[in-house]
Amino acid sequence: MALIFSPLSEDVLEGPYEPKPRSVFVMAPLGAGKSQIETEMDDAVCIVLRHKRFQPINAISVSGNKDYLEKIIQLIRGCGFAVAIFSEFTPASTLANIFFEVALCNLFGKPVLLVKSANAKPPSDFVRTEWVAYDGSEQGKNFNKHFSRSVEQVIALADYYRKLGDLALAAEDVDLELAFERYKQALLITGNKALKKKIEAILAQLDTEQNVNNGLRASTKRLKKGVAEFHMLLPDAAA
Amino acid sequence: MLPHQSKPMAKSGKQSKTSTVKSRVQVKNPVTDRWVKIDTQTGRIVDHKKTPGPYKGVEKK
Repeated sequence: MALIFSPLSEDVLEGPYEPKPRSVFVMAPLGAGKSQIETEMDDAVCIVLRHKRFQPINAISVSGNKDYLEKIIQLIRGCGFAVAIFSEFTPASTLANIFFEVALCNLFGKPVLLVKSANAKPPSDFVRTEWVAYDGSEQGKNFNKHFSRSVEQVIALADYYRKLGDLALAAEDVDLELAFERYKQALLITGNKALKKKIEAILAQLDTEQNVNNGLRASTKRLKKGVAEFHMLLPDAAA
Repeated sequence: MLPHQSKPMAKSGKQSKTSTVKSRVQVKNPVTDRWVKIDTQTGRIVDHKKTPGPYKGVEKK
């Protein structure tokens, strides 16, 4: 599988991060320049997410003295899925940041829901991506209904990932790395305890792998470290 | 074979159309609402269906 390199250190992106099952990374304009409609959209998104027992997080909801981009990367790695919010009032520089983060989410295998105001135009690369439009009518009831449906689809996607993990583990050429990544995706969306057991089974299998080819020893070691760190840092309450 | 029949009835269709493909299974992606074909040898996705409905002759998971 292709390695992912850090845009900061240019080294292989590994090392611990805090898995936060049932957390959702919200990418939206922040601070004083935020327009009224963007504030309404952000509020409406967070209400639906909390109603469905998800914890919305953003770049400023978590404090830290790390590099800002590094913090964002770690938050994305630890979340279940992401929501991008923008409107026709979103400044170009903010829009660039939001879609850079959308691309990072795609790279890390996180489903992304796009939420835009009725008059906003998505960038051309995203015209085939589905989005939920917010027009503020009927106190956002229509939006709540459509956005809730999109969140339900992401929840259903977790079961799809679980099936893909089962197939990777049951394959004749067992792919432990692929199975782990699929279970991780499903676990971070749902917080399902049964998936933690499956990750423990992968860890146990990695511990018993004896005849690793010399050329694959480093990648096996890296995988084992990644699985062990993820398992160790999983919060007990959530999974 | 019935007593009045001199030879077995001809079977229509090819055997391959009715048998399942052993090394492939299919799973439905709930977001795209399309079926995805998986190679059971490797556990990897090998094809996405472009049109609605499942693949014929491929076991569903």
